[in-house]
Amino acid sequence: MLKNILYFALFVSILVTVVWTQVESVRLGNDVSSICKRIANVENNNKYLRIQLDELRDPGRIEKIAKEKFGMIEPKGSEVVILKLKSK
Amino acid sequence: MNYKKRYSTNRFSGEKSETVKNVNLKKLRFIRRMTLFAFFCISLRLFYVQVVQFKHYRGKADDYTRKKEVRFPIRGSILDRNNQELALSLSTYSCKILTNAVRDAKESAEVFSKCLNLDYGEVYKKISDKSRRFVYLKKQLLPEECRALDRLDTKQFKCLQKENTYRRFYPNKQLAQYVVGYMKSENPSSGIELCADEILSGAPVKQMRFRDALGNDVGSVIPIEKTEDAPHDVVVTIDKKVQYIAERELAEGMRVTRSKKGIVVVQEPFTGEILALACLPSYSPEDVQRDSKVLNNPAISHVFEPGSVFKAITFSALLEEGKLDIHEKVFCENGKWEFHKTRIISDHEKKGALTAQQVMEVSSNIGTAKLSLRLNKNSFYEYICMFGFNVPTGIFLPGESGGLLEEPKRWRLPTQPTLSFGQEIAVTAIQVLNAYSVLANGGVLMEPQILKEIRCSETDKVVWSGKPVRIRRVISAETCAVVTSLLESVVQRGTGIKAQVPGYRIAGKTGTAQKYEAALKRYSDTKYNALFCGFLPVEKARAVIVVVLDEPAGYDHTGGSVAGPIFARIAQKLMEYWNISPDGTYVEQKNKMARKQDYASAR
Repeated sequence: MLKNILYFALFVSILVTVVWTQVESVRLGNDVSSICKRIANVENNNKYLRIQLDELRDPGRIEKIAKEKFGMIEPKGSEVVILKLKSK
Repeated sequence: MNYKKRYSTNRFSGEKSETVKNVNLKKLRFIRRMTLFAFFCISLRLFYVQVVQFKHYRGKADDYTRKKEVRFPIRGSILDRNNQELALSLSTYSCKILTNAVRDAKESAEVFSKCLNLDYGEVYKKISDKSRRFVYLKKQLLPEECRALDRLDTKQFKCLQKENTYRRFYPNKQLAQYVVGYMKSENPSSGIELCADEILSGAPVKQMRFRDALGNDVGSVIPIEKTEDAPHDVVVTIDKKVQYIAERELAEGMRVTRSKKGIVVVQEPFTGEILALACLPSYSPEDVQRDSKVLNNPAISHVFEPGSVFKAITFSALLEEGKLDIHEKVFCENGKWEFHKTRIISDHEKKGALTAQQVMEVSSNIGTAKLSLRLNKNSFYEYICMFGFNVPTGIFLPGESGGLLEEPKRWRLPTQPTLSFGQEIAVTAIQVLNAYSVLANGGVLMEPQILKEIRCSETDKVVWSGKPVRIRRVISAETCAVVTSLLESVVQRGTGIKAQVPGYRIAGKTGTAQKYEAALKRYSDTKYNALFCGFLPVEKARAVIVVVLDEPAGYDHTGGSVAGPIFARIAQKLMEYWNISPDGTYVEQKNKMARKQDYASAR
């Protein structure tokens, strides 16, 4: 009798292990899939932020702000003095 | 028989319990046998399913759990020479509504119009239209719109379907739009987008997606076959800052001169790389969506008569053939010369005898025409072709024109002298620029380059790298030096004085070409093309710049007056950008003056 019970217990434990591994592999697969999607999403957002950064760094925009907001003016040719640095 | 006997025995002998026990044992045995039989049957069935019918059931399972699909890879980016993005794609989706699945049209319209920044009435009208199975509310959404839709409850809005797609972004808006081009809907319409379309888009990828019993994605996506045609990033030779300088100064110059159109192209003479290609007016993406032809690149497709800019080519041919001494004098007929009673050639200034150098400085048509007659017409034609005229330059942009020039056998009597000062020939801005690069780099014609590198988008590995392409030697270095000195005197003392940049040695030539009016079959007295083409610093040229203005409307319409100052401003900014200091004389003078002022203030 005891022998039969042991056999049954062994059978059940094998069954549980097989089912558990299957369920776990599906769950991990789902995790991998969602992480892949998140990575793609983050990369996409990163690219979009780069686009926005480029838009903000547009020289035309910066020049406009410098002139209109801060009242800056461009130096004329004669106002630019290029200094030649002597190497030691 | 035995059973009956035993039963009767038990019944009459009183050994009932033992008999029941035996019967139960038999029942148990029977059940055990049946169970074993059932297991045997199941095992048999399993064997049949798992081994005999393995392929069939495996196929069925795979059909459900594995989904083969074709994915269009994300389009590669276009970058400038400093790896700054000029065009790039983002993956996004289009918002599709299944009209029959809409529960509450009013509520849905309110939510979708808020998420997608659309008009409520328009959305309501669209999603209420049951005659159509589905409608697109908005295509190629912005990331923030995607996020807003992602936040919606999918059970409540079962009508919403997200269709994966890509959206093309141009972070610099209209900067270098004639080079970069545009995507019209999802098709390239012009520029690099068009001619490098195959490189940028790559081939569709077949891939496998896995899903569980509930239809959810499991694991990562696996490509089925490796394709060689992956999308690539294209790096162009354009420098974003140089491009900005060129566009800004051209816009300012056009505003002042009230010109219809304008072109500025900047080239590195020793490599042939195009650093900036600016054409104005520019167009908004909406204009381009309506008519993509607006972006036909005028710098390579628009042909015009070059005018006096062409004199540098005539003088190069004369000097190379040994038929000109720059100090010899030529009589310029006091401003008007009738050539064989077929054509009257005139100068803008009445001049008598001038040296060849002065002919160049004051840009005398008569002087140049007279000198050009020393050349054999076939030889002259050959030189013109050797400088790269009459054939496309081979730049990697769509729609290039080769210009127009008759063969010598079809020339009329006055063709050669008029050709010498840039009439009866049609050229593109890029041809003029490339010809002046010959003078700037010591006599070698280079192919203009616009592609710098091609890189794999995924691995960033360089798969192709542009190298300078030498086409041919056109003239000797000695001839080049003489022509350069003539062009330098044009800027120092001649018509190109407004193209000067203090402290830098500049060689260049002005050009003012009357436009030909085809309807009247004569040259216009009011419409001109104003040009300036030159390079600096003369010692070792870093940039060759051509400026073309179409129909400047002001009183002063000459190339020297309207195109020259634009050249000077661009040249000055480039020298500052590249940290190229002026040559010694200018620095010395400034320093002396500064020192004098310092001494005066010290006293």
